[in-house]
Amino acid sequence: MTEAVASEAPASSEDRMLETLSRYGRATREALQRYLQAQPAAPYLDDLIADYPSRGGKMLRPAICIANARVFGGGLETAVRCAAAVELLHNGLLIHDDIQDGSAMRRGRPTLHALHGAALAINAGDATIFTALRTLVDGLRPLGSAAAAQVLEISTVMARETAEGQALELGWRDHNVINLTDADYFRMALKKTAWMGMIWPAQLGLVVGSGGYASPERVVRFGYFLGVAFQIEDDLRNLCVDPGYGKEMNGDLFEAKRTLMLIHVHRACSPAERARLDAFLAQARDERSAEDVRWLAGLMERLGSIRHGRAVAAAMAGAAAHEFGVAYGGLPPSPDHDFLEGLVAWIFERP
Amino acid sequence: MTTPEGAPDGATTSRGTSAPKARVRRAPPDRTGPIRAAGPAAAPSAADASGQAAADGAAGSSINEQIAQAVRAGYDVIADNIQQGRQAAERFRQGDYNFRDVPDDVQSVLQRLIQLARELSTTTFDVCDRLLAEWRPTSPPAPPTDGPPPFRPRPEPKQAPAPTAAPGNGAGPGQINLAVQFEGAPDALARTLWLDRPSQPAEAQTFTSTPLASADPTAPVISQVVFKMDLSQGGLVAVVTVPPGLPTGVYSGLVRAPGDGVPLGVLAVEIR
Repeated sequence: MTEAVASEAPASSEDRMLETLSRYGRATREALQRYLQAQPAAPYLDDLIADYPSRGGKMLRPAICIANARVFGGGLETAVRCAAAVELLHNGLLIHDDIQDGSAMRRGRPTLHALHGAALAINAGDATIFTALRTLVDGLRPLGSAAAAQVLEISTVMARETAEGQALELGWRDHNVINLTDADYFRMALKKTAWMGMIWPAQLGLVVGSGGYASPERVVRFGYFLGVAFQIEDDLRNLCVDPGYGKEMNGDLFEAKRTLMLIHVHRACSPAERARLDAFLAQARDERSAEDVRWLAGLMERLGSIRHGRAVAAAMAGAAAHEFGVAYGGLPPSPDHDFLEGLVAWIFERP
Repeated sequence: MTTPEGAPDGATTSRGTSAPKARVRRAPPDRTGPIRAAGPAAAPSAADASGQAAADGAAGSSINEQIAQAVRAGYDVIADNIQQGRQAAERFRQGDYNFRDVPDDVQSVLQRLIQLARELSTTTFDVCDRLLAEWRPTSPPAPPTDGPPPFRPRPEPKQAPAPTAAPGNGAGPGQINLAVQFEGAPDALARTLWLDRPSQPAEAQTFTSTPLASADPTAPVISQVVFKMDLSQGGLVAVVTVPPGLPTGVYSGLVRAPGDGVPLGVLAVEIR
């Protein structure tokens, strides 16, 4: 594989981010195709495995992995296999997430279980995750046992943290846990979003790039604050007119998802409002009315919950920018260095 | 880009009004840098901060205070998470683990991993190498032409050129990675990253090193060096006990395995 070299420098930081995402996304998809084009295709399986990856996506996680690998001294060719593993694992978990959440749409199209039923979708999710492990093994083979042992360690930690985060979010919803704090939300976002989405890809790239000689702990705080800011911004967008990816506006409110804004409005409202809110949260999803959702959205606006969410997201992004300096400050400047630094602003600028 | 909105506390100047007012000034900031301290002695805990935020509600505190508390809570959360991870790693590394501390659903996985580590730490390098053979450096696998790669690893090519070990790439074939732990000298630095494999299977505990001496013949030596196997640190580990007051400099000694006439390499450490 050859490394593409841009003939002209893109005009703006947004262009540069898009160009890097596009270039690393393309390289990752090429690597993915090797694992997804089974001949002959197994019936009821291989088409399902290839479905979500074929729907596009920002490819942010693979780009974080590759950029970290290059920043820490590695090359694109080795890193791209690990990036493909990151993307495959992400897609496998998405299949399962959609079933757990009862989601109807994913990336603008019906979810896999809506198309094929939960049983086949779960099976395809399992197979996708194991295919990701195969891809990871191929990516690690050239690196030696020390780096592989490090990857094994950070991957098992990531798997555990991610499962804990998903359990927290589902448990809060299913058991109608109401009295949550901002810190509870940060803890959930750390585990559910940041570890799999930011920390692990960065750690993987660091280990691959450094050959196992840099400490994976170095990038944890940067990935954490980046991930929390990313999650809050995602939750904010769900309250907007166009949440993107075919998601339903205010879908998080219908699902009573424990977002930072919901936690804020619950502690800021009057006793009478809290009684109505608690009754709303105690309902099943299909019992919640559009009128109640509109009332809750208006309450969040009036009591400053949206403003609070935006401010905390910006503050977390600020902390991420600070931690970027700690984690990457001593490394030589490069386009990949700029890309990683630019992720902080990209959280809010992304399409 | 989303930015924090202005403080809704009425503190802005009322331009255009006829009545002159005293210039509104911000109070001096309590701090000018990020909150890094996560310990309870230096900053309120996440629970305290969140409890305070709950008490504040939307009316009491300014947005800046709430954000400061949020950032502090954020640092508390990650500090707590990292601390838990370190404690878990330390327990598992030392074998001082208690399964009652571990949730049921991961016990079986951890038990297998720990059992594997225990077996590897008491057996031979050959076993270790076989189990880790899939990770060994070989030529990168070619893209499959007739479908996805098999789940079983491909057989390694017999004529594959032997890559040489280079800094940053770990040990090559015929070599083993070496990690060095220092006791009594936290700033000491390992100058040796790998050694040759012994010609015959040997347990790590049977490795020996000659006293580590510096170029200055009058300087004291480091006589206590023991070896062990620890997969969490990549394989072979040398534990070097540095005597107090040892002058700075580079100290080195020869590492041998029983039955091997040729040393496995030079263990060099830098005392700083």
